[in-house]
Amino acid sequence: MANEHFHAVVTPDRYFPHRYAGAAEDFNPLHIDAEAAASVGLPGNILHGLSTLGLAARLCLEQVGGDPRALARISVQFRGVGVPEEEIEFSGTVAVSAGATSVHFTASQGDRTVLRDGVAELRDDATAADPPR
Amino acid sequence: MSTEPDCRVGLEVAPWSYQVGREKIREFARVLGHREAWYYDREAARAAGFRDVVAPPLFAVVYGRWMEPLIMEPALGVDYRRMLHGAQEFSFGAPVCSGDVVTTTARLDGVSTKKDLTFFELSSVSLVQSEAGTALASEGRWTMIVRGGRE
Repeated sequence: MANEHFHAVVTPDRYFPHRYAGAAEDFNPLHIDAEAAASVGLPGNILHGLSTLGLAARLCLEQVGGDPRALARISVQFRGVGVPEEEIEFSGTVAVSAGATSVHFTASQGDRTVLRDGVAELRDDATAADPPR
Repeated sequence: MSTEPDCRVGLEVAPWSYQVGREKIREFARVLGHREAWYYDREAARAAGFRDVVAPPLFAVVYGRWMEPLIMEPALGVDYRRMLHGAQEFSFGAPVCSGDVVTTTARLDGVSTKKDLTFFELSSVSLVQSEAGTALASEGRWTMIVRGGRE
């Protein structure tokens, strides 16, 4: 088994939460309305946790060539709140063994953790995801 | 952590279906920064062995409607305005492509409380129907946290 370091940085722009809201049809005001977010004590509108997970899933897939069939499983704990216009740093390790690759990762903005205990399990034979029918 | 039985455990709502469309896949892939052509171009997708443009795995959030049908079910008693997403897990089977129909069933697996937080454990099973037949697309486990204790 070989371990490699996993590291990537994504900076969601000011309107990333609004575009994600539209794409995912999740219009919770906390993500798109700074006043609504402020009314419950947040610094401003916050990222959808699932959008941060979506970015993590893409970055993990890119470790093995990007084929969406490669992702067998992904799990994560959401911690803290992610905000737009601030770097999200994804880091962890990539473990390669016979037949499978797994990525263990966290995501943070500055000293705030936003994703914890992230695990992605990737299939080496991506086409195995599509069983014969 | 409270372990007393909760009568809501086992609650299900009617399955819902989602018709997968090419532009929605493109929009979702673009937002997350996916660059591969199979998310955008039908011919590139077919060349890679897909029926049509293929959805990124986390499109499971879209066809699963982020569990809104179950979360908004009045019998569940969740105050959506006080809800946070605690944890998420997806297992993936067959890919989902434009033209497919995905049908999702959802269930409340557990409720527990800790201090003033209530944890709702939800699960989903999504089946994809295409010209190739029916296959498991994904299974999800969703942990939602509601602040302010039990309803």
